[in-house]
Amino acid sequence: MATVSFEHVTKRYGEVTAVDDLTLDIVDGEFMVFVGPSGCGKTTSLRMIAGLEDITAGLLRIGDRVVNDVAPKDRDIAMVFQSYALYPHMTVRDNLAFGLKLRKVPKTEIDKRVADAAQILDLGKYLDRKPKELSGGQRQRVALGRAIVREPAVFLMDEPLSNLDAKLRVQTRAEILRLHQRLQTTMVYVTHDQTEAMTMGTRIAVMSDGKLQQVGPPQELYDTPVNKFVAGFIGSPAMNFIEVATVAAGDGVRLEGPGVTLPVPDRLRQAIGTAAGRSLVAGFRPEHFTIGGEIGATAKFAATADVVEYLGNEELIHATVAGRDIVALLSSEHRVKPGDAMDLQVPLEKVHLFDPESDLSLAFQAAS
Amino acid sequence: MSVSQRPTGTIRRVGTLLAVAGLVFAACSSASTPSPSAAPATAAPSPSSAAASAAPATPAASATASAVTESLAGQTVTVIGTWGGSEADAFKQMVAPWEQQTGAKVAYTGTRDLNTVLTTGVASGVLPDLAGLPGPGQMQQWADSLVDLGTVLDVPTYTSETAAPLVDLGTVNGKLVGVFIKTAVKGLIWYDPKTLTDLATTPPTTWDALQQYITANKSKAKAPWCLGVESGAASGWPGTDWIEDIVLRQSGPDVYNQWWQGKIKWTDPQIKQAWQTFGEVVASSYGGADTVNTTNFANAGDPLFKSPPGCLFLHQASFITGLGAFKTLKAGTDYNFFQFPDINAQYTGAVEGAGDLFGMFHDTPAARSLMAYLVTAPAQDIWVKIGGALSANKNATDYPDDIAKRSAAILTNAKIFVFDASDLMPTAMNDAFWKGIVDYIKDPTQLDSILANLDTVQTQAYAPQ
Amino acid sequence: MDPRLVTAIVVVVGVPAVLIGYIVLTEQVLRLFPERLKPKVRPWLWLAPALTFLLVWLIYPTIGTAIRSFQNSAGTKFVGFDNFVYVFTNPAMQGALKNNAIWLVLLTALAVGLGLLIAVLVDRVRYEPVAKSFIFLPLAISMVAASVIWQFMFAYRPPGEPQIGTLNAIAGAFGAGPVPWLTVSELSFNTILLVVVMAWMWTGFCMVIISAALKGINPELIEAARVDGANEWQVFRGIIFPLLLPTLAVVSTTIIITALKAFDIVYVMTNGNFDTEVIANRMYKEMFVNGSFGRASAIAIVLLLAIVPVMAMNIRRFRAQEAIR
Repeated sequence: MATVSFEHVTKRYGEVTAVDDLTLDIVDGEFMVFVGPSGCGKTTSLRMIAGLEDITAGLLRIGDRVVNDVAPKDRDIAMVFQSYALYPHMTVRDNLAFGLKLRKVPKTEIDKRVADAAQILDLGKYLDRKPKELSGGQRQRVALGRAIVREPAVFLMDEPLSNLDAKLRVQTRAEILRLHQRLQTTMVYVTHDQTEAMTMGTRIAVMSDGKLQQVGPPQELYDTPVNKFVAGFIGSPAMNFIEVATVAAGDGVRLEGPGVTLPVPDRLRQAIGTAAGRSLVAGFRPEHFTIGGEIGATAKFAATADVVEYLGNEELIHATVAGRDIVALLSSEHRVKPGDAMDLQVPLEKVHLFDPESDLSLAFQAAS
Repeated sequence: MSVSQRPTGTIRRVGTLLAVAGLVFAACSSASTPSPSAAPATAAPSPSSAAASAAPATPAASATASAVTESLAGQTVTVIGTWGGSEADAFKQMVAPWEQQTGAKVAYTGTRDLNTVLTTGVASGVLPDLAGLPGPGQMQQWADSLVDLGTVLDVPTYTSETAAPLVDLGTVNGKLVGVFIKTAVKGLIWYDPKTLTDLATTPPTTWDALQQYITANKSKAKAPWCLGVESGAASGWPGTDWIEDIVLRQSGPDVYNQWWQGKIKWTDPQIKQAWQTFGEVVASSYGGADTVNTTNFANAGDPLFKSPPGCLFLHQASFITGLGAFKTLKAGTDYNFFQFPDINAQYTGAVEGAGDLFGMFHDTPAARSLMAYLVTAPAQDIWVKIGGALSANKNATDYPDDIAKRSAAILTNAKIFVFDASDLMPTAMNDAFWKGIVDYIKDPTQLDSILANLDTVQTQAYAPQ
Repeated sequence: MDPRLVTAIVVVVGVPAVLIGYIVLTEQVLRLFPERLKPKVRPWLWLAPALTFLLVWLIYPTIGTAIRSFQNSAGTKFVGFDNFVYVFTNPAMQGALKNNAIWLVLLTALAVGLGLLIAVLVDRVRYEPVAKSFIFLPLAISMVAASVIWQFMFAYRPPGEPQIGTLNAIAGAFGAGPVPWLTVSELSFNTILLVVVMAWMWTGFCMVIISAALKGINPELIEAARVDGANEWQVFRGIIFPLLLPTLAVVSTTIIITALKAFDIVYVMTNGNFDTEVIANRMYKEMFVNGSFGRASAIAIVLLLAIVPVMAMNIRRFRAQEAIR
């Protein structure tokens, strides 16, 4: 059982900064997911927890202990690698037992733990096989098993599902979650897939270009993204962004964009300010669109359907609004056809506004 | 598969052209290497007769002018021998006048692996025109491949100019196949006259007297004897010279001859006695057994001239004057010799000699001319004058110094003359003999097993193959 | 024109010319064949020169040697197994067989062991390429050149005289007397020294191959082991070494064959004296010094038979590795 804390941790490779001033507290027992595009620093951060990368600046704690200079084997962590990293010359049983043998754990204890892990992960049949005789999914389970038998304080997982096919991925995802529920150990999980992040994490840390963008429970990231990056990264299909500008109206301003009518949301009025001619970026999630009939203030779009993807219950419509591409996810009862004109609406409370220079969400500016 | 005809056609033409060009070049290049000629040359009367009738002191050029009957411009004679370094240079000087006169060239290659080259050569037919032969023993084995020199030289003249034993040694079944162009006297005891000042006038003539002299003068050097047997693949041969000299003077020429003919066993008490005497020499050698085994024969005598001297005496053949420290020193003043002392008064006056035997494998006009030249006195004089060599031709007397003269005189006036025994033995026996010496020096207590081993080799080596 | 220049031109122009010419020729020949047979015949035509070379310079001499090993020296009559009996009973041969056993074990241990050690250590330093070049350098010179160099290392002068040999100079610096290294046959010491010379040359070869294999090990395996709790030695013994075993086996068989063939070093440095005789040197002596073709052939055949199982293992392992790929 342990917490993991990053205190202003930075990692530099020569001129390149891989992780920039990361400060993050991982709570004991939580399932923390690091997510972000390639090169964002998530894997580097994970490897720093493991001790496989040096820390250029800042402090890393596991529990209360500063572990900057502690060797990986003394950090009480276990790691599952993307390529599984199973010892090819050893049987599954020996793979599982390796770490324990090194720590001089008594044989009876080793056997027990190996048997337990095999049972949890359904590896009983394969204990005497070599890794090359196993399928991808089985190998992944062995990798998990190797981590489990160590009974570590923190589990670290580096994109463990990337090498699996789609169906296996879904299955294994559930297994990992089950494991977490059962063991209640802190797990730090790295992935580039936001769906995985959303479905698995107690909390998600979104990273980009070495910097932590936002950390919080999935719902928080979804409802209240702190900047345009997080807004666009979380949620599938991705959020639509349209440039709008303030236009003088009465003794205030209203928002206008090509093909878009956007009343000023009350909660953001102050953040928007009264200056006219200010450019902003408005964000709308595809799933928040409706066709007509909304009660209350809405943003309205004059859209023309371009391509319609039929998904069964829903339709994914690629449309244009005054020349700009947007994506809308609507119930298929509307039976939209390509070329149809649509009167799309989004409730104002679902509208996000971002400052185009800082990319920050105006909602946060209002709060601060 | 549709490949258009035109590109194939071009490739075909270019390819053929290139192939032909390549073959033409190959043919041109092979023309520059000498190939054995098929037709034997006309038998010309030996030119050496003309040389013999000329006064011995005539300059070499005029003698060779009369010796050459035709111009051989552009031809090459390939020669291989064991000489390298200064010896090879001496040989080149020896043949230079011939080259000038005939316009032909001598391509000499020196190799210590003479045996290898000639063994493969005799089997494969790829042989030089002329070759130094390792020894009369080996020459016997190749007698069938060697040209009968009776057709190349004027045999009567050759016989009259050369010591009889040497002529006999070059003859196999009545056929003259090997001639000596250089000889040496073995078993000379060398010393520094500046260290041992009274020796020149009264050298010891018996072995016992030598031992007494050594005891009396022990303090003048670190050890009585210098000895070095290292010589690459032939390491050990200076030791064989010692044993041969001892056997000759201890037991006489008959035993000596029976011994190299394989008719006396190595374990015979007489032979064993000789080894033990040699063992005493090793025990009193400069630097001890380790130095003896690791010092090259050419440098073994250098400690004679150090101050303080490393040793009193060096036992070595006459050709040592052209090697090591001897090369730069003055004969007579810096170094001198006396003959190996008698062991048994019965066999006084016994001399062991050796020489460089030459044979001819290809009968070409240029080769014949060169061979005929090499046995003449003027030719041999050239090397004699350079030093470190004695001639086989009795008329070559251009000795550079007193030392060489005395050495030559020993050879000519020998009462009992024998040839180097190990050179007469079959090569397998010779090789084992060399190794036996090295092993004996390393560990004298192993003498009995060494001799027993030599007996085993003897049975196998002398058996008809 | 200098014959060497002519030869050089012949080689540079002629070799490609003959190659192209030959291929063009085969295409011409192929025209005589029906279309469907062409792909089957073509490979054999292209292989023909190489197969001919193999036949003439490898197969034929091997068979010839085998036949000669049952004949006497002159090749006139068959003597059954006499030559083979000689090979195993002649004292010099027995010494050689013993020495080759020492060569086999020691050279493999040294060259492969050191090569492995250096490959693993050098993997972790920044100046790796420089270090590897130095270790590999001796392999670039001929064995005879190496022998000459090391003869100077081992050179001996009598005590009291200045030592020109490196080892004896060092011994002198420590106050010890000079040692005639190459003549010390107690406990096969001089044979061991000769093996060291060979190892000096071949360690680089082993190192380079092992290093390549080392770099082929997935680094995540090492990291997993470290996370699992292995210290550096345990990582080496438990992960790296077992994964290198196939490579080590291949390298070892190459070195074993080299040890059995050892000749140049022995011939140049001691010529087999002082109990350093090896099989190849004996074969040379029997052949060229003694002219005993029968015995030399028998030795060659014995050597061939000794190497065959090693080669077979090599090929089998190579095939197994290919199958995995």
